[in-house]
Amino acid sequence: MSKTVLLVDDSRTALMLQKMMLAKTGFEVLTATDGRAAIDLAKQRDPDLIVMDVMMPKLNGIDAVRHLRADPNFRDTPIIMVTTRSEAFSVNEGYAAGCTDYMTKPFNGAELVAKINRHLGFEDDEVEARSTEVRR
Amino acid sequence: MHSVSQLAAHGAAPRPTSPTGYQLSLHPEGGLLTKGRELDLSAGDGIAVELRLSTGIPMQFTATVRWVREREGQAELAPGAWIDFTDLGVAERREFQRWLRYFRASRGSSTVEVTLARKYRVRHRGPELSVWLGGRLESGESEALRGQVELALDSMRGETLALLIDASEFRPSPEDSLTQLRAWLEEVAAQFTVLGVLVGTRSVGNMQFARLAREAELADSLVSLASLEQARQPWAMILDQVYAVEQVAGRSGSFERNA
Repeated sequence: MSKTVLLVDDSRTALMLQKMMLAKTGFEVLTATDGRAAIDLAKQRDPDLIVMDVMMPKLNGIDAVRHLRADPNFRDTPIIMVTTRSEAFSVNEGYAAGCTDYMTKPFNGAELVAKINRHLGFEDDEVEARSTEVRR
Repeated sequence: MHSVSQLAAHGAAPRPTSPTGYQLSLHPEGGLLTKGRELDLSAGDGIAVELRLSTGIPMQFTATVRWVREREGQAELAPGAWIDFTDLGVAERREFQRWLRYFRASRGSSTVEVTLARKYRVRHRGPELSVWLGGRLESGESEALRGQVELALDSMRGETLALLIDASEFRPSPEDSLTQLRAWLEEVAAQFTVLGVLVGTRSVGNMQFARLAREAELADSLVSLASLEQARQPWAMILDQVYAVEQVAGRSGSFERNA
């Protein structure tokens, strides 16, 4: 059964680029444009992994992660924060809220795919195969 | 699907040629640059030239290529490029002209051997803009690059832009140079909805450029990839998207026509 990845970002161009990078991975990709919509969609579809922007309207990424972590269904779901801010306090805030990993924008396409694969438990050679597929 | 070589051609990465063996026929404002049949320059390219005279003292100039003379149709003339010096102030220009008069009189010629370093290249076509950056950019070079990008932007229509930035050979540059780079990135972000690729390894220079992209509010619009090889597929998808949005023809084979 294919894995489901939820991409959350208020920027439609960022979502588009992330979807492009995941196009050949075989994942089912869901999208949401704010933290509140992300929580609602996550509860409906139970994604295997979430890629979450920080600065978003209605509910920001940090608060959305806190909400999700408070729900036992999402306690162990990998959440990768993608942020334009690389300062230590911003990263620490993300980890304190419960994110599993983080990346800085502009995001590295190959790194995004590799991180998603690793957090979904694929072996390194499978990660390499998937990353190669993206590069091909 | 575009091939990597097509991407490299459009992505404006110059073919690697030896930096030596160039001849520059000096004029007060610049000169004619030749190198057998190997010349790989385009109008608008930014370069740095270094003259090493018999005194052993190097003279360095930054310049922009004003025009290029191709070999085709002009078999009697070697390929050449006219370059304009861009970093001479009024006093320096006057001093250079005085020196050039003396040099020409004493040598009977104003042609000298120079070494050349490529600094930037800007290409655009339809909704596509590509910028290649090489080496450390000084403030004057970044300012000239900004002028080239602004010229390109002036001629571009539509609201969506496919942006390819190849910073894989970009090196850490001084802050006043970064200010110029940031300025044109901000202009791009202000004028267009951008979908783009930032090519470069995790070098300090590339990290510096990624910071500029963030500061110019372009971070959401770019995907960073280590090499042109990795960029090939995302770039093709970006072109599909941008040409579909802009509803303009001529995407297919565009790299060849731009090469």
